Amino acid sequence: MRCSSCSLDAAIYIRHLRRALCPAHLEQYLVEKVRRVVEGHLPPRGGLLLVAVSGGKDSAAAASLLKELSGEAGFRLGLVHVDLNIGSYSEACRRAAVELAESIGAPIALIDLEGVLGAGVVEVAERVGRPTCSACGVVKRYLLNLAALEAGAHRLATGHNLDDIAAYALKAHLTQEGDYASKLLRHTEGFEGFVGRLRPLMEVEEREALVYALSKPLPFSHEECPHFNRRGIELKAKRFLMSVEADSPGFKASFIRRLAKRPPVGGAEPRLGRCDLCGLPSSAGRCAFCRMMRRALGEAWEPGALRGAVAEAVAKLK
Amino acid sequence: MARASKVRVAVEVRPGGLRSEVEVRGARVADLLRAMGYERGEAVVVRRGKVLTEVDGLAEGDELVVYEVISGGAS
Repeated sequence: MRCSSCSLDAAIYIRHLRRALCPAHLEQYLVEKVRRVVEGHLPPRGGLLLVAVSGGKDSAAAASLLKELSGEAGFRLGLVHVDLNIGSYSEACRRAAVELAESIGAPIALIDLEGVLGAGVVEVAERVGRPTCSACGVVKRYLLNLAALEAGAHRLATGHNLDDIAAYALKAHLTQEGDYASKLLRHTEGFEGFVGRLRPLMEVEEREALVYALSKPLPFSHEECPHFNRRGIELKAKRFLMSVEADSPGFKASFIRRLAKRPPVGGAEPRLGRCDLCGLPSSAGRCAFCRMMRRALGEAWEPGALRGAVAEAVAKLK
Repeated sequence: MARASKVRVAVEVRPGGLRSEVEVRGARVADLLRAMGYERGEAVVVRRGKVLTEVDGLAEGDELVVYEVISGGAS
């Protein structure tokens, strides 16, 4: 199949547009999608946009596409990777993240969980009796925000794509748990102790991100986490949405757009206080991360040393 | 040149790295993915480092890597 814009071989056919795109025109198409999403929310000239890179295809695509925009918009791009210490899986992810940084020409800060916490994510989860994925989410959210704060970043970008957000919204609707309204926003405003978020891929399908990463090509790891729950609702939701998309091209994008236009459901935003241990924002007295770490590592654990170690890890991004 | 209506190809599936040989009737990428049980859009096929579209043809003895779109790992 030939590219609809030139005579080169196409790498993807976008059904709802009825257009085939070669790697270069796919990049152009995705840069424009990302530009529309991030417009007005980028750091000022010289400011730092920190991208959380896991080593996977989506955050690799997000970093590369933002790099394409960084020249004209004048912001600095930095990457941060959290090594979760999940054996060979994490080693492959870390390697891919470092290679990605080299490939797109951006500095990267590595935060090694055993190095900064004294325990990997599996050990933390076991000690507190939580599923690994749940502990992992708490650890990553906390450390990425801390890294962005210590690096002086204006925004923290993540690789959540259209399929992630649609599946999350569907799961939240099915289970009636969680606040999907905030996940649907392209950006989240920052405040003291919290760096605002940016979701540059929120209109990019997971398949588009994969084809982009493969055809650019970008270094990424495509291995499955050994703790991934193949029977989880989120995976089923993604498959279901994909099968609907197969018969109704463009369905996922319009689902998200319509949902984002609806007013948020539920009560008022929780009032945010400060964690008594680390001082960062928390809606429940002591924050979820400090509660978990105290249970996992005992009274001896205190967040000051962690903050110092993270500051050291991200110093090169300043 | 008329395309063969049936070809045998070698595939490696990622994630996992499982290798197998698949006989494909129809000899297009979409036929291979259907034969492997994927729904449209669930997987992407690469031949010699080049991403193929679903209507691209396959040849006897092709060595292919099939990337599942939903990986369940780092994203």
